[in-house]
Amino acid sequence: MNLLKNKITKYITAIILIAGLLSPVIPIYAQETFKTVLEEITEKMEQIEGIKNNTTLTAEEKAIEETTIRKEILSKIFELTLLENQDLKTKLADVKNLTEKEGGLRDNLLKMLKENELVYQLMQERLEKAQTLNEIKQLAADFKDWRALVYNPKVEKIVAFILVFQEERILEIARERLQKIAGSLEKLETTNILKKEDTAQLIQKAVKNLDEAEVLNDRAKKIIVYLLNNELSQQIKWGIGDSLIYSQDSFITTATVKINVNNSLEYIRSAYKLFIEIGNLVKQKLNK
Amino acid sequence: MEQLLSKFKKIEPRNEFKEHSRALILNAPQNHQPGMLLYIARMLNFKTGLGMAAVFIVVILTGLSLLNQRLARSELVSGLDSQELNKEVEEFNIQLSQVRYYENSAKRIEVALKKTSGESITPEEQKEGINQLLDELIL
Repeated sequence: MNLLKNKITKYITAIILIAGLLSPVIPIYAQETFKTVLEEITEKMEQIEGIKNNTTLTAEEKAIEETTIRKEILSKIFELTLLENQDLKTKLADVKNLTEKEGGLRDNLLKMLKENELVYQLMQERLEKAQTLNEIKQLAADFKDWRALVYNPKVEKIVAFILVFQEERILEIARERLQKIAGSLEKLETTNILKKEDTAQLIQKAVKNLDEAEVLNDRAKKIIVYLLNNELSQQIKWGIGDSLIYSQDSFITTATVKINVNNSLEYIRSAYKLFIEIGNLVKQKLNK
Repeated sequence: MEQLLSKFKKIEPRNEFKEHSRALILNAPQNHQPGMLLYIARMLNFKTGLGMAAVFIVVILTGLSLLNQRLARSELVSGLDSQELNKEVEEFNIQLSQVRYYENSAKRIEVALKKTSGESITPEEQKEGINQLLDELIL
């Protein structure tokens, strides 16, 4: 009985490991499809130019060809929008370690994506019915307006949300790396290859960098949560240390979230540079 | 005849001969050598045993400290290997670039839709064509 249990556990572990190995490949595959569709759109847009400049075709023939190509381009842009929708859904679902409140916000964002689906249906039906060049052009204009007024603002919020929590996870990994390095250094110190003073300063700097990164990530999180709770950008209080600083007359948007995330990432990158410096130092000592 | 036999009963070797033979027999070379095991067993008294134990302990301790050093070095490799560190940073970049795609795509798709709808496009918009978006997609 135990033997069977062990076998099954081993089997399941193997499957999970393999799935784990494959998982980084899957999001890359999604982006690969984006690339393909975008390339197709570019090709077809060039074809429009080709038709316009084609002297062998009559005006009527040109119109027919153009209609076909434009319809195809529009169809591809729909396809891309649907792919983006799916990609954002997946990325939202992948965000881990959310509090209940944050999970609620994530659900709202998923709802926003779901609402889009009705519009896609309507647009798709119009596309299938569109025959004339004018109908296609009008549909393209309407779709452009919808993307600008409805779709893009939603995507911006979703992207800001995903960025904040993705970066939080990256910070976690950086901290784990720092722990691992500190542990390795301790072991090396017992063998007298290394002295504590050799690396103490670098470790301290790295810790400081990661602490700064955390402050900025927390700030970004506060802002995105605030933004999602209140659809309008307003004045916001943010705590820095013990004192509160009021930001007057500055409108906080998703751009502010991204700035904080990017600044936080810079601190994490600096920390990794320090890790590499420590690694080189230790290599030096080992080779002595 | 009986007299002869009773005389034979009393025969003994001369004392000289007795002594000589005895000496010969006792000093004759021994054919049977004691085996290696017997030899070692003879050496295994308490003192030698203690000495050997001490030697073993020193050997094991040295071996362990060498192993520890080896492990320490491999800890270095796993924790501080610059290749691994760079790989980690690369993975961060890939993750982030996928999300960054959306920062640029909105504008590019707008241009494509403008063109499709027949709207005129400014030269800057033409430049920010889809080609640039393609280049920015890091794969």
